[in-house]
Amino acid sequence: MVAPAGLFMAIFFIVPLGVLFAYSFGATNGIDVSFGFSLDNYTKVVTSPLFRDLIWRSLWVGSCVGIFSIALAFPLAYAITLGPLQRAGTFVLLMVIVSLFTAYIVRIYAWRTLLGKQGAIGQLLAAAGVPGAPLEALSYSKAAVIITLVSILVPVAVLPLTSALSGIPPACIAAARSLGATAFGAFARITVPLASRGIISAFALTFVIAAGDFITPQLLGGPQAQLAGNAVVSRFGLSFDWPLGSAIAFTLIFLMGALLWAMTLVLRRLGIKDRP
Amino acid sequence: MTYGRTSIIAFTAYTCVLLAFLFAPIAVVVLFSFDSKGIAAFPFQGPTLSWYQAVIADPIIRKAALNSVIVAAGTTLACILIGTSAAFVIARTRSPSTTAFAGLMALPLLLPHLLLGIALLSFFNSIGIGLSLWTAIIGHVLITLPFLVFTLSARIAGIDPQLSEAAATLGASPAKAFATVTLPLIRSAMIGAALLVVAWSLDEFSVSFLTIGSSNTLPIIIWGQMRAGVSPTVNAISALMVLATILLVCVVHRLADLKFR
Repeated sequence: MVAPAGLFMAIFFIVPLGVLFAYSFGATNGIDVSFGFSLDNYTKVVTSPLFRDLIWRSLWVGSCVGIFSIALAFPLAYAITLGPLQRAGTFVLLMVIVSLFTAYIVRIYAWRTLLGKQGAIGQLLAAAGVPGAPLEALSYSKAAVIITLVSILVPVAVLPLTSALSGIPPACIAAARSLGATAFGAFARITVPLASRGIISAFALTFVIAAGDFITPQLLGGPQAQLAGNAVVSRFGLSFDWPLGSAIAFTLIFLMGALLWAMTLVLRRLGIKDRP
Repeated sequence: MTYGRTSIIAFTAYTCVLLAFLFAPIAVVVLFSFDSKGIAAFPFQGPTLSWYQAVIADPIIRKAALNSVIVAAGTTLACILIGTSAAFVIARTRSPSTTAFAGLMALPLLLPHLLLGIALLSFFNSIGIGLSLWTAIIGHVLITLPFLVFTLSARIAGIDPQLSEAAATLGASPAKAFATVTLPLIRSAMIGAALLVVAWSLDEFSVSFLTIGSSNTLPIIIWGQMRAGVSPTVNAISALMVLATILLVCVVHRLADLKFR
């Protein structure tokens, strides 16, 4: 019964990742890729300030986007599960899912029409007589990349948060309140810890997508806000150096995994578990 | 729990603001797609449908739309053929190997699409397969298969296995029991999951971009026009894609009553 899916995953998932990993130890002469056992590509990634900056920026932007997405999504998820908007929950969730399924590239394009140099926000402010200096800072910047990614990934964060919060019995919170906890105390000591699994998966999902993105920085980022994904794509495109591109990608993935792992360790130390 | 009027107003206001944050940019694009000026800039010049006419008349865009539909159809068909049996295994058996299998099926969700795209690109290159719509379909299946498998397995887990056992006891062959008992029970979930795969595939950009070679899909056209600078038809193409997404999601919602929670 598992044969069709298992076979597909073996041939088109495990083997390709293996080939890509093998490439990262290989070399290129500009026309073909040759396999090998050299660590040159990884040395290049680790020692080059350019790649180091790009990878750190990816991890940093990914973390910011993850945290902001959760911060924005949590009140909404709370409102439709434990909060006062439960009856509107289905409709709100449907809106969130429409947004989630709206094409990534369309949403990036939409933000560019707002934030770009000739963007709608800039024109509105200019028409209102507001000087354009802060807008220069906003268009084609790291801030533009983060705003766009947060708007794209809020729906991704809403779903695991909603699912975690809807599993919390309201009686638990009521019990804490009747035992004398303030509303904030009950929220901080009962609701958030019980939702921790949803918070962690929301962070992992949004972080991975944002830190691995290349489309948003390419179309909205400008030179100062490029991410590691852009370096990878350009190695697989114009500057033909697949082995180096592969080494950048695997270094990024490794550090992303390490960061998520460290985060769960810290949270566990604080008594928050990724599983209830 | 009861909430005071202040908190109801606060939560409602917040929800509206957040939904506006998600939808306002798209609304602006849809609005400009009807503006005769042709670039996404105020002030409006007057309503027109000429950009939609231009989209329909453009042979390159039409070809790309056709490619999008072909890839989405191929992806959906392949996902159903490959994924249905996997969903049954995940829903019906409990063993360490099933857990490992489910983990493998979920893994593509946890990796950046960029990594999946360059892995497939390297794989096809190393065995000498040229890029085409076929390779793009494989990339799309890799991304959408987890959706289908886990949506379906959630529904299957809610079906009493004794129903098909009863059919077998009453003399139905396994094939007949599946066709007359199990399939009708999962049909709505299957159609719902399949439509979500269609929606995802139509909108997919990064893996298509890396595995489709020189062909175009609608998202790749948008990418190309954005990189080339101002192009008035992007607004109209985007609006049509948003419309398709809304229709698909609403149909899924009405028809399958899928639990997203």
